Amino acid sequence: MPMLQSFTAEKIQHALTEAVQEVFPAVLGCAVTLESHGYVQVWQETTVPSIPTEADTARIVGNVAFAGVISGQLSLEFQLQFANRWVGRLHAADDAIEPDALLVNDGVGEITGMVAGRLGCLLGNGESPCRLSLPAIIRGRTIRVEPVGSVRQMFSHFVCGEDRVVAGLLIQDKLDPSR
Amino acid sequence: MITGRKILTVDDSEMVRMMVMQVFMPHLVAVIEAGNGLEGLAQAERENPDLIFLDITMPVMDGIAMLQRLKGDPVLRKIPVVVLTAESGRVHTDRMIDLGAYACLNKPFKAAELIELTKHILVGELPEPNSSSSPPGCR
Repeated sequence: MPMLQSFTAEKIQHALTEAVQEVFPAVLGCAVTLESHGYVQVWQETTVPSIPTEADTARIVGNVAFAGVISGQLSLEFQLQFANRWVGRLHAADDAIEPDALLVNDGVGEITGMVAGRLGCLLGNGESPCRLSLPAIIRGRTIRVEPVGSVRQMFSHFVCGEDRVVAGLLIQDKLDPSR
Repeated sequence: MITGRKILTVDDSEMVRMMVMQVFMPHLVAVIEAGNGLEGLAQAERENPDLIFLDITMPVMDGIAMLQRLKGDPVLRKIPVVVLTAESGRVHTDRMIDLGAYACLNKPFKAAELIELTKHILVGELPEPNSSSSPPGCR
């Protein structure tokens, strides 16, 4: 296992954006733009904000842990309707036909793993190994991904056509007081 | 031409198997699939594919174990294997090449990249897997 390195939040943010912008067009066939992002220094906060949600709609979140020069967990949150649509299209199904839930879980888990792997690759300059966990899927309407202990939390909002995706990161890395 | 050839995709993700199929469908390449290494070995024995695209992290039998079993078999060892993985890193890639993989591609793959590599392996001269003319490891 490589030594944990310290990265600035900006560097991680930049790599995450690059990873999402490489993976999404290849899988979903749509360009993705970064709308906004934020950082949370958890140990300075009395409350932990959840990944922001826009409306009380059904959501699906893919979670994949990664371990390399940086370790943590990536969450990708989709509106369920959006996930159903792109997974259905990948399987050449009619938009009106809702794909099987297991297929959607598979798609969301796989794309989350691809982004996590790409993030690890970018931060490790393609040299240091980055291992990935199996994906876990969460479904619900009001979802909060919360950290434990002293980890950094950051999130990014992306726009993909008329749809939105929220990427949340929990980062466990070498402590750097200047970050 | 790769038309008429047979490819085996071994991945626990149905989405990835579908993506591989969609890449090769227009080229009239037969794509057979397996959801884990054990099924992959059975399919390789039964179907004798020209090329195998292999995931690493899978249930039942992972890609590393399947690759080791393939390369230990006097018949199946001749089938070229391309590893498709979301995991990255030179050490990781080198290990796959050492185990006998022809190349290692990061997910998500580009359709053109997959076709180009397939043509190179199946139609072009097939360099020794570990020779300097082999494609670079993970790309």
